[in-house]
Amino acid sequence: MSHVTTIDIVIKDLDALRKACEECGLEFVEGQTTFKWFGKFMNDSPVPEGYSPADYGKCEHAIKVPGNKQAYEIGVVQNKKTEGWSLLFDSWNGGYGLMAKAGAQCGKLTQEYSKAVVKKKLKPVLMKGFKLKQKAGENGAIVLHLRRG
Amino acid sequence: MAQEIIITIERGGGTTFQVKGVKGMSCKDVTREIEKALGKVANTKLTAEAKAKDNIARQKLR
Repeated sequence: MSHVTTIDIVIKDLDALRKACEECGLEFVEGQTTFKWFGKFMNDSPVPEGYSPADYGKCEHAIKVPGNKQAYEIGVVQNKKTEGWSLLFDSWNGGYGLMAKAGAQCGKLTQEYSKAVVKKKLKPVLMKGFKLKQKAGENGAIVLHLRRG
Repeated sequence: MAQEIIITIERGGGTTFQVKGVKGMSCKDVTREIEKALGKVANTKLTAEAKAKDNIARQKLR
């Protein structure tokens, strides 16, 4: 039987997030408890559900653009509702180089995170004789195609 | 018959699975662990192929 499932992503695996940072040319800084942003909320970008502008600047871990001192950073913050982690960031003016690496609204970073989680979980399937090929899909999508027989 | 699993990961991380012709295990068994690790299932649909097989199975039961 076949089915199609669509998943809403929750970041739960910090090792996979580290791997995603490497793929995007970003650096995961474990234990950095502040992250760089404009410093004052200007109401020009969406605040993730469950957070307020007062939460900006504080985090458990941070993600930065290596070699770019001007770039804003991403705060990795324990999510109060989902037992996972949320990404807080200031995307004004592309975060001065941050969004060029992480993608608009961190879309490339979360895509690479999902890929890292999927590849980790696919190991038992690959041991059953499936061959994996990675292809580029539409609109920047990554397609992992497993085939046996 | 070839057995295929096609996983499409969109910008933003939204992930779609298509499982075709995988025998010896339910297709949901293949993806359940990955779905659990990724987050919350927003939507699951049987493909046309699966619906057709399901209809045949129901007819046989009658």
